[in-house]
This record gives sequence, C-alpha cells and structure tokens, in this order.
Amino acid sequence: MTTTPTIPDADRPAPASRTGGRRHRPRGWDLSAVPAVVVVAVIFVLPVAILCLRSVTEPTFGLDNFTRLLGHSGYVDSIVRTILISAASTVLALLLGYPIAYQMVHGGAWLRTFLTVAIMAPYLTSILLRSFSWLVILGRQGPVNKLLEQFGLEPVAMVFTPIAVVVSLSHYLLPLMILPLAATMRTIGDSRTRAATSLGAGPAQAFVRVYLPLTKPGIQAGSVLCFVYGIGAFVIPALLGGSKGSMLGSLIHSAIKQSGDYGLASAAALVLGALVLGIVLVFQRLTGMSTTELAGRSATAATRTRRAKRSGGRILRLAGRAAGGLDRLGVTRGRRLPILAALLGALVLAPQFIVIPISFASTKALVFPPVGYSTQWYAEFFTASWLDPLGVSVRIALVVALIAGVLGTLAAMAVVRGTVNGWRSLTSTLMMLPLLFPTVVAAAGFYAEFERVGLVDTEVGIVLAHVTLALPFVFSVVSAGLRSLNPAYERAAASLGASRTVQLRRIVLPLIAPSIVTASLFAFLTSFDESTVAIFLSGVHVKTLPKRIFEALSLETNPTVAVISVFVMACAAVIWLGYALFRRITRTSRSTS
Amino acid sequence: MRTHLDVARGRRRVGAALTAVVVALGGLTACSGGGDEKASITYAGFGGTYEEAVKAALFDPYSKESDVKVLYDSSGSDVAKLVQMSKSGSMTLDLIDAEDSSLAQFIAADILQPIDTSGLDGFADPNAVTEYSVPWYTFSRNLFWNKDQVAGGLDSWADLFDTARIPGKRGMVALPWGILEGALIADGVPVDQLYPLDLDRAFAKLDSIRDDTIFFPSNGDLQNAISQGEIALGYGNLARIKSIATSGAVPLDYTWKGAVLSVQQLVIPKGAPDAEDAFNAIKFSLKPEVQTAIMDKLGYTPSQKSVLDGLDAKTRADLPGTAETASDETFRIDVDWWAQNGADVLKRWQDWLHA
Repeated sequence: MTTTPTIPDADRPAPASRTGGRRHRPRGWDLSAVPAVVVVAVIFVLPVAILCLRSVTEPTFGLDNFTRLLGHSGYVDSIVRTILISAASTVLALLLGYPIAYQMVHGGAWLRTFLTVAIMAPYLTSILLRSFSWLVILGRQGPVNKLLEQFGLEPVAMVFTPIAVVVSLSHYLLPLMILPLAATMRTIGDSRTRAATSLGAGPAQAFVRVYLPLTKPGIQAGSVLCFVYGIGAFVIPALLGGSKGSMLGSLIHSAIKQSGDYGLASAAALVLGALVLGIVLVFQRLTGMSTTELAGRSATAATRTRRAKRSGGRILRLAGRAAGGLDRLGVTRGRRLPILAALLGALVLAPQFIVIPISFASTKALVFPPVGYSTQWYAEFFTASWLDPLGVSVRIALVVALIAGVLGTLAAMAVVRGTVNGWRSLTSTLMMLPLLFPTVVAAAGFYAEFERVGLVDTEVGIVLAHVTLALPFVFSVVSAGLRSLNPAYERAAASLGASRTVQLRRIVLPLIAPSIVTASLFAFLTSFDESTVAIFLSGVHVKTLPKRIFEALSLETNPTVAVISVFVMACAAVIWLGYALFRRITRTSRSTS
Repeated sequence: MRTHLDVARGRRRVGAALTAVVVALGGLTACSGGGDEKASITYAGFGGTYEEAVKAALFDPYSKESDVKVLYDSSGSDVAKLVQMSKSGSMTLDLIDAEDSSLAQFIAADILQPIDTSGLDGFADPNAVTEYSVPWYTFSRNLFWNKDQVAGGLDSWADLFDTARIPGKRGMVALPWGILEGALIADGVPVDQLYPLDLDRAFAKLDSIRDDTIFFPSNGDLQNAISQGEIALGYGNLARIKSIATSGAVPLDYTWKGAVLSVQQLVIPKGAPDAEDAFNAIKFSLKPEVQTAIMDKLGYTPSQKSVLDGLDAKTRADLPGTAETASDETFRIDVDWWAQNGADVLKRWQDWLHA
C-alpha cells in the first residue's frame, strides 16, 4: 500500500522509473500471504510441533515413550502392520488402477466418460459412507459370504481383519493412483508403441518394453501418494479393522481419547509423521518433483522434467520376453482390455449402490438382501438426531469456505505474483502441508492444544482446524487460475493509476472468479465431508454430520447411514446432470449466436 | 477522480468482508457457547442402546420435572481419560455412570466430589453407598453365544477359552476387569482365591485366545459386531445382549454361569460445572418409577429395597445379583484390589492389546 490514493496522477510515473524496466511484476503482493501463513503456522504446525515435543516430556522428560513404543513387540507390530496394510493397498490400487487409467486415456469416448464417473463418484462420497458399504459387502451376512454359501463354502470372516481394511483402503486410494497415472499417460503418444510394433514386437511386448517404462513417473507419484495416505488412514481401520486390523491412527486416537495417554499418542504421532515426511522427502530427492506438484496429484511435471529412462533392467527384459511369448500365443489380441477396464470400473462403482436396498431394510441388521422393506430409516433421518448435525456441518462448512476462500486467494496472489522467492516457496510449502501430512496426527495435535484453550467441542475449534485442511485446495485451485491470467492486464491497470486494491477488485478477481468459486466449493466440501478432525474435536455440545455417522457406524447398527448415502448419490447425480445440461445449453447458445 | 472513489469503495468492501467474517465467527461462538437459557448437565454414560434406555428411564422425566437439559457423552468407561481430564483441569462432565471397578479407580485417583448421602436411604445393600457415590442398580456381564454359530452354548469360562471344542470369533469389550478374572477361572483358579490377581498367568491364558478374539473399544462397537453376525461367542453386558436378542438381528443366548456382578453408581467429578443439578439427578434416579423403568429397559436389578421386594419370582429369576441367578462361578470384582492396581494394570492391558 505504498501508493497514495488521493494523488494517483503524481504517483503514476514513479513505478516505471523506480523499476527501470528491470522488474516486470509489481511489488507488494508478497505480504498478502501473511494471514494464511500465520493461520497454518499457528493452528496447524504449532500444535503438531508441541505434540511431538510432548513425546519426550510426558509424563517425565526422557525417551520412555519411545522405549515403550519401540521396545514393546505389540506396538512394533502395530507400526509394521500399518506399513504392510498401506503397501498392500497401494499395490492393489496400482493393479486395479493401471488398466483403468490406460482406458481413461486411450479408450473410446464412452468408456472414458464411464470410467471417469466410476472413479470420481466414489471419490466425492464420504469415506464413512464408503466404509459402510464395505461393512455390508464384506460382512458375514453380506453378498460375498452369501455367494460363498451358495457354493457350499464356509463363510469367511473379513470384517475386523486386515482383509477388509486393505480392500476398503485400496478402493479409497484408487483415484489418487489413477489421476497421476492418467496424467502421465496423456503425455505419451502412441507413436512409440507403433514404432515398436512395426519392428516386430507384439502388443504385450511393446507394452512391457516401451509403454510401461514411459509411465514410470506416474506409477511413482501415484504409489507414493497412495502409500502416504494409506499410512495415515484412520477412519477405515477404526470401522473395519477391529483389533486385528488396527493401524497407528487408531492407536493415536485410543491413546488420546480413551486412555488420556498423551505421551504414547505423541510418540506414535511422531513416528507416523516422520514416516510420511521421510517418504515424501526421499521421493522428492529421487524424482525432483516438488511437494506442491505431488500434492496437486499431477505427474505431468515429472514427465516433463525427467523423461523416464528407457533401460528397464533385467526384470523388465525378462517380463518383455514373457510378454513376447504371450503375443505368440495370440492371447493378447482382440478387445479384452477395454472390457476388463469397464468391468473394473463397474467394480469400483458397485459398492455405491449396495446401500440402496439397505436403506429400505425393515430391520436394523445389515443383511443383504434385506429380509423385509420399509421406509422407517428415511423417516428417522428427518428427526433432530440427524438434522441437527446436518445443520452444524453446513454452518461450519460455510464459514470455512468463506475464511479459507479469502485467505487462500490472498496466499495464491503472493505466490504467483510475489517477488521474494524464499517467501513464495515457504508459503506454498506451508499451504500444501496440511494435504500431505497425516490428518490423524494433525487432529491429535488440534485436540491436545485446543483442550488447553477450551476450543475442543466448540464450533470455532472445528472451523479453525478445517480452515487449515481446506486451504491447500483453495490455494492450488486459485494459483492455477492465476497462473493462466496474463499479468499484463494488471500492469496496464497499474500504469493507468490503479492501486493494488483496485487491480485486485476490478481486474484480477473478476477474471479468476470461476477459480475462486470452485476453490470455495472445494473448501466447503472438504469441511462438510471431514471426519477425522470431527471425530477428535466434536463431542457433546457440537456434533457434525460425519461425527454422527461415525457414531452410528461404530455404536449403533443403523441403516439411516444408508439413507444418507442415497441422498448424497442423488445430489451428486442432480449436480452432474445439471452441469452437463448447463454445458450443453451454453454450447448451443454460443454456437447459434 | 474515478479511481479515488473506487479505492474508497474498495476499502469499504474489504472492511465489510472482514466484518462479515468477524460476525460469522461471533455467531458461531454464540451458538456453541451460552446459546441455551436452560441449565444443563453433561452425563458420561456408554452411548448406543444404553444411552437410549437411560434417557427414557431417568433423564427425560428428570428434565421434564427440573427443566435441566441433559447432554450425553459416551466416555463412561474411559477411566484413564477421565482421570487425565480431571487432573488437567478440563473436566466438562457433571455426572459419571461408574461401575464399581471404575469407581474404585476414581476414588484412588481422588477425582470425585463427596456427596451428601445422609438424606438418601432405602437401599437394598446400604454398604454399597460410599462417600462419593450412590448405587442405582446392579448389573452383570454374561457369557453369550450366537445360536446359529455355537450349537451347544457355553457353560463356563473354560468353554470361552476352549477354541478347539468351540471354534468361532470371540468378542469382548477391551476393559480388563472381569476378563482377567475370567481367564484365571478358566485356568483353574477357584473363584474365592482370585485376588490378588496373578497377572502373568491371566495374560498367558488370554494369549491362548488372542487370535480368535476381537477386543472392541466400547460396548456399542461390540453390540454392533454381534448384531452383524461377526461374533460367535463372548462376554458382554447383559443389557446389550438382551437388546440384540429382542432386536432379532441374530439369535443370541446367554448363561448366568460365570456372570460378573457389579454395582452401578452415579458420581460427580471434581470440577463439575453444575454439581448441584447433577446431585438432583442422582436423587431422582432413586425414585421407584425410575428404578422400575431401568429394570424394564435394561434388565438390571434396582438398588432400592422397596422396588426389589415388590418383584415376583419370575422377574427375579432373570436379574443379576439375585439368589435365583447365583452360580458357583458368579463373582464380584474386588474393588479394593482394582483401586490399588487399576492404573498399572490398565497400562499393561493397553500394551497387551496392541500386541
């Protein structure tokens, strides 16, 4: 705010002469990141740092908590199990995700649309609702076991074992695998594969020796993302894992909320946080991809910066030879892959629909298909027990969208239009941190620190925590919008005497308004959908909808959750159709005008 | 001139936006803070169907009479957490529903307010009343089984530990009291020689069923899992077992053999925001109609002698703590032992659970 608004004419020539054409960007946007940086530093980083410190100070100063955590075979098992479950889920996500991503990029138009819907629809559904679907599907009275019984086999216990956790977790992680994979595949034309085929390679051999190595950056980015998110999983193991499939997140939760054992909880949180940061740092060192790019779930940058090496090593050569064998047998010809991908897509989408019959069940039991039908659960949803939490969630999400929208936009301005490089990279790292850092660790930090200042079980506490979780989305969406905006407009306005506020209001904001709206919508959904922090922070006085659903899932077998799933699906379908219709109308009107 | 106006307007708009944020935050504080004119107490029970029953039997009539709103928390069995809350000065609860082993640990940790029990009488067992607590019913945890999955049923703690003869997933709530005693009984320790508990022996016995057992964080989780048919047999609160049996989700049966008896008490923690209304609720819980309602809804034994004496033999035959349901293996938890050792055992129990 160096310009004096009262005498714009006198001030106008000054910037040009001061900069002397050396610098093209106007100075001053850097400071606009301050509010967002302060919020993330104070509300997110500080509590986590204090929590980590408590691991050596509570109950007495020393490494007691770590000797307990790492010296006791039980807790070591917990850590190892967490890593194994996450790794297994990542591998499963890769195996399922690769053919889907391939067809999403190279398949026919219809298949592409279908797969996009199949992947994005679960992605937009609450993790709680998806866990509920799996609870029904994998349950002892669910369709899988019913099918086994049909074949005269013994029912298999899957719920409350690691099996249920791995299945559900890989389903949850699938989009995180597919998006970077598809982004990488889009950059690969089919010319190289064609060249290989023309040199005599069969389809399988060309794929293994040429295509697969080219998609390595996408595989790496997707795997790291999945693994990192898998390690920090909390809701899925808490609902589906039981004591055998429990992971570090559940350990942290029970230590804090049930035993009040902050020392052990913080030691476990530190191990989990260090694991995630370690993996991300190693990945960055190896691939040169930044945190922002990784969290932005785009591997295109990696493809650009570092073309995958062609040499695949001995394993790849062996695999190539095996693929050649398959080609000679003739099994790889024909249209098997699109069908496989379509089937996989249907498999990903199917769990969504299992809840429809359950929502009409006449009994509380989660039997599929239900014994009888009724609409009682729909009636139950329209009682205060569910509508009150819904109201709380909407209110919190609106405030979060507003605050995060403003703070995130300002931070994006600082990073895209700012001039101080160190500050810009610090800002963008801080803004993306809440996205990559395990939410369960952050939630434990929020709880421990908010407890001291009386913010636990208050709406303000949840809003503050949710703002930090929503900022990464606002920041990345608005940054992308700003990058595509030519700074020449602002320079032109500045040269005509517009102050920074005027530039922002009359030039920048109107032009990036769509990005800001999208970003705020993301912020709203992030808060509305958020379960981990809500489970830690809400309680008696404040109860958000996800917390209510979590209670219903863990404490009462309650098909009302299925009703909510149905409503969410209906809303998503309406929005989707509305959007498609809107695009069609605008396209027709544009073409006719 | 145009720019001049714009800047002024722009500033005003920024100001307006900031005001909006402040007002929104202020509104939130108002909503979550003192929005209610009515007095309210926060009660820590156990959630789920138990909470529904207690709400209907005790708190709804109490709120109607006293105009005090009751808020529900489900951390009643989280002894260590409640002690930590009290010690750190962040106690938000007014009334805690405590079984006798929890009560003993609360007293040992010195987190309870003394209650003036001089005006309260008519207890079937006056010895159960303490300086800090008022008994309101006697309950039990029983061995149960899913009739579809366990044909013969259970007769003793030894059966629960006999995975060769009775295969199937066992389910229990992850609370050590009762389970450690049960493990020792299954290992051949006579009921009258349980205390002091031989912890090494108890944990060794528990190791033998670890792979076949799921320990749940709360009664609600266990009830949920049984209702879904995931649990074949186990040990759980009688009211929950009965609730599942009546819901018809799965065919469930239970035995009085090996049942663990406990007196359920209402207590007021130190630092409770509204101790006075909490005490009024305690007094209300002793009314004959509340005591009868609790018996009807939960199947537990009233603490008031007048109510107990009015019951017929048929009702008494299915109530915890009556002569009709007593058996060789029925036992009460030694609260003095748990008061002294509870905190250490809980820590060892947590470590064992995560193994």
